[in-house]
Amino acid sequence: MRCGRCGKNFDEEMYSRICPKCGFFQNKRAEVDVSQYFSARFDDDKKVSTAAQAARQHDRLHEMYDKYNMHKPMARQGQGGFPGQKNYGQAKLYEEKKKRNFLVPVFAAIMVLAVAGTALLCNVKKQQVMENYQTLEYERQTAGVGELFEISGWLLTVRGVKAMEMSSLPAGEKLVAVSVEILPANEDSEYQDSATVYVFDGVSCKEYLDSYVVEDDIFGGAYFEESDLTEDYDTEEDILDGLYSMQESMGAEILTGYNYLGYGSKNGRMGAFYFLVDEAAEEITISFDETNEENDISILQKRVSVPLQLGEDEA
Amino acid sequence: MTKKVNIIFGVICGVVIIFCAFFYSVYVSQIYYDIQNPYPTVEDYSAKVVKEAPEGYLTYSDDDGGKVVEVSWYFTNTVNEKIYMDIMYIGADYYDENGGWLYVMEREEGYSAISKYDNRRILPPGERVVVKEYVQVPEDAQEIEAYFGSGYGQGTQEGYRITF
Repeated sequence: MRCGRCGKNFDEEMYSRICPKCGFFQNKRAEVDVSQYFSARFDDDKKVSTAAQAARQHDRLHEMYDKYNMHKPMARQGQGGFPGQKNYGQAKLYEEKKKRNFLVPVFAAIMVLAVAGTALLCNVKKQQVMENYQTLEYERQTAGVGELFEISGWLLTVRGVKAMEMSSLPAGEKLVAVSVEILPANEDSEYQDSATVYVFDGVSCKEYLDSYVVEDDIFGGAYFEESDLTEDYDTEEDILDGLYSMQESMGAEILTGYNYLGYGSKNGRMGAFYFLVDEAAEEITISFDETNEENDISILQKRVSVPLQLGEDEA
Repeated sequence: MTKKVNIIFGVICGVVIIFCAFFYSVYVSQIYYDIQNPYPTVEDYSAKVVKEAPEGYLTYSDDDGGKVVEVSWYFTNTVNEKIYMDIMYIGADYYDENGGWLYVMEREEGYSAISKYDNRRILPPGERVVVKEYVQVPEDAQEIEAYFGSGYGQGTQEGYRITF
């Protein structure tokens, strides 16, 4: 037959319609069983004129008909093949190896990314936390006795302060009660589980006297049994007795940082914070802190301080 | 074989990811642990010899006629965390010029009472307070050294030379 590309005449049967000069395949049929043809001819070196021609023809055939990736280096080395051929298993192995080579780098990349990402996350988290922790910028306000001020959306006013006559107080200290009125909650009020309230007596800052344990005891929670009140609690027992009687006489609730901005104040509340202050203190300052939680750190946003003269009449 | 290799790599990858998550949580916990018990910053300090400690302090029973030095520490809190100013926590250790340990006078109520009431003594963020300690020193001593950090707080481990 005559080659459709270069015009060379050649034996169609001998060369299976592949031109020995240019390698062009004279395709006249709709479907050609290329695999059978290929293996029959190219596995047999005697059927082709030169190795170079064979390789070219090989490549062209694959470009035209292959579904399988026979152009990989392994295929050239004789390890490729079509299903049913003796080399098909090797081709499959190549495919598996290809899969393995794909997954292993993916896993390795994930591991590297995980380690690098963790290091980065740790660093970022530390920076965020330390920034929140070390940045101390807050609004400072001073209010007078009887003057309304806002803490966490609540409106409060300090009514006055009283020094209490108590026995068995720690040496060098006296008990004071600071009366505070909390107005009913409004739409801006944020309920707080815990808030810092303290007094400065010229030497130290002291938190309100009550803890929630003491509060339970005062309000009839009977947290401590009589037998639990060991010698260490004697002083505190006296203080509690005194506070309890004072509370009854004043008709005011005992306020703490845990309850004063809680749901119990929803409809407004009048109460008193109790502090142990320096015995010589004539003037104290009560402060209310407003904080905002960020990265699990309470960041001080605002502090309202009210200076108080001991013995001052209630507003 | 390939499947085995992939499984092994997959398992190693999973272990690495779990380890990373574990490391991250431990690391973050450690950050919070390190900052949740802050130590006050010493802004300034001063000392003077006093006749005796104020009422409510115990004198060392083996007093050999030494003098009492009142050391005032001016502390400030520069972080967003309330500091509990328990004297047992923030108190300094004092040493004389020869490295001898000096007695810090205790409150009469004893440690339980000090702990109980000092737990209400706080240093809120941005505040400054004065803490006074009374140290018994030898009569001829002119200078002592103080170190913070021997308590259960971490402290500054910094030494302060105090003259009086």
